[in-house]
Amino acid sequence: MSRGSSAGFDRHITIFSPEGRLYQVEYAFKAINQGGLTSVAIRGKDCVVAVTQKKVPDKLLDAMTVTHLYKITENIGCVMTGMTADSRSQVQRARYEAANWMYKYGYEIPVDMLCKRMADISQVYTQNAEMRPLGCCMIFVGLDEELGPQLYKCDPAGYYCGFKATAAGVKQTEATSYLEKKVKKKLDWTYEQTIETAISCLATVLSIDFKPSELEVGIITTKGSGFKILSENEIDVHLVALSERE
Amino acid sequence: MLHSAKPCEIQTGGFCFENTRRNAVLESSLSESGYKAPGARKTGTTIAGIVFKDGVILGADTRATDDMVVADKNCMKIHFIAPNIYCCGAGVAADADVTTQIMSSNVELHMLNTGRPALVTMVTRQLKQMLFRYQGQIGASLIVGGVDVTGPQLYSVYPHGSYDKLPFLTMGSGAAAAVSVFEDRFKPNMELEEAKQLVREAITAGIFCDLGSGSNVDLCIITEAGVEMLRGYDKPAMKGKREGQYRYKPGTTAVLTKTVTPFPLVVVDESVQIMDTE
Repeated sequence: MSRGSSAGFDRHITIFSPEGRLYQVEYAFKAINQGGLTSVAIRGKDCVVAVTQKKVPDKLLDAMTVTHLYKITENIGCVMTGMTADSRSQVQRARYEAANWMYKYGYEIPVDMLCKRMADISQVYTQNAEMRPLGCCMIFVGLDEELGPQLYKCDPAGYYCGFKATAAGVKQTEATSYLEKKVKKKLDWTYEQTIETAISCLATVLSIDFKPSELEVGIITTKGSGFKILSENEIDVHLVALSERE
Repeated sequence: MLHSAKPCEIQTGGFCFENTRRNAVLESSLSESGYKAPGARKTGTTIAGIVFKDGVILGADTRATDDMVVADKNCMKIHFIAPNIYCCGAGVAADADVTTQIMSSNVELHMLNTGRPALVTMVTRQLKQMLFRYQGQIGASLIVGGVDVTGPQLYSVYPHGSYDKLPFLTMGSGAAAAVSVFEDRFKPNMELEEAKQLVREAITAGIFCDLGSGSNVDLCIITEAGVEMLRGYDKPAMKGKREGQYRYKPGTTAVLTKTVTPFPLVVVDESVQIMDTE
């Protein structure tokens, strides 16, 4: 079959190239790395943990306002990787979708339904020529009433999936292979083990010895009261335990 | 409702009342000549529901009335919403029917989307939002009952969109008769047979004490194990069998005398009128 010729716009808007690729979507994936951060999330036996770097490049910035962990509902949180402005827009939309579901149906949105909804919205951007895909990757952590701890990820292409452990960002491939090795050995992590594995994954892959102020940790457990972002002291406790182990 | 592609759009809805003025003029001119405008057929009902130990029992009578005439002697007032959720409908028959069908369709779509069985709260939410949007113009009073992952639940929804969540509920024109039976004899966590009898008695009270309700008692028992539909569970208003004969046998009365008087008739005039049979 002879290759069809494109009008040259397939790199500019979300239409197919002659090979059947969507260049804009691929560029959106590259844009996730622009932020220069990596995030890792692991699902344990009774908890889900999301860890991301906290880079405050400017001394004048108020570190308290720099965050990539967001609470969507009481029982669902997310870690955003990629372009910060796009991330904030997606989080706002996710919060709206969750609240709208509660209004329309009278019960809390399950994590997989929220991720599916965000993925469907992202897919629309890959079809509409007038809008570009968003350059960010959403990792949802949540607790389902019936199914327990849940970990879902959705990307600019509109694909979503549930995970036992996942990573996003610059060092995504290295982090994923590190996690694969760990998950092969053991699947039912306890709370402490989950956090320590996530932190050590980031530390190994990025070759950084983390201080509490350089990390952000968000957790949700079956015992606790919803999605919680750990304070620096709490993170320090885990870092100390991790260094003692090594 | 579930079908809009843009989720942020505000629901526009409700009926269009542009023709009300014209209708009012038409009705007044009709009543001047002594005719009445046709009304909607109401079910004039007794419906009831209770929560018992293992689940929910819904009961209904089976009479549908057209003003003062019985339009249907055995109509079905317990509607299917989901495999674990059923709904009794009172008020305007068509409104109750169509509203429950819309709910059933939405629930099925929702179940396919989420991959989980339906929740009773979800049905009630959508019902009351729809009825409120129509500002009571949809005359459907419904009792929604079901068993889902959160347990057995019973809700009543009124035509204007308010709702109640209670262990026992009655609606319809025979509600007062039925609820008096419940108020007297309801206990929490009843056994199945006891609960069935109680609902039967409540609906029977409505059948006998309310003109708008009659014919048979239908029951629907919903538990975690499944649903049992008892159509015509009780027929308290069946026509009784005649005990005796009221005809007299020939020869009961003795014939004393017999007189035969012939009438001679004379033909005075004969005329033929041809009928137009085309």
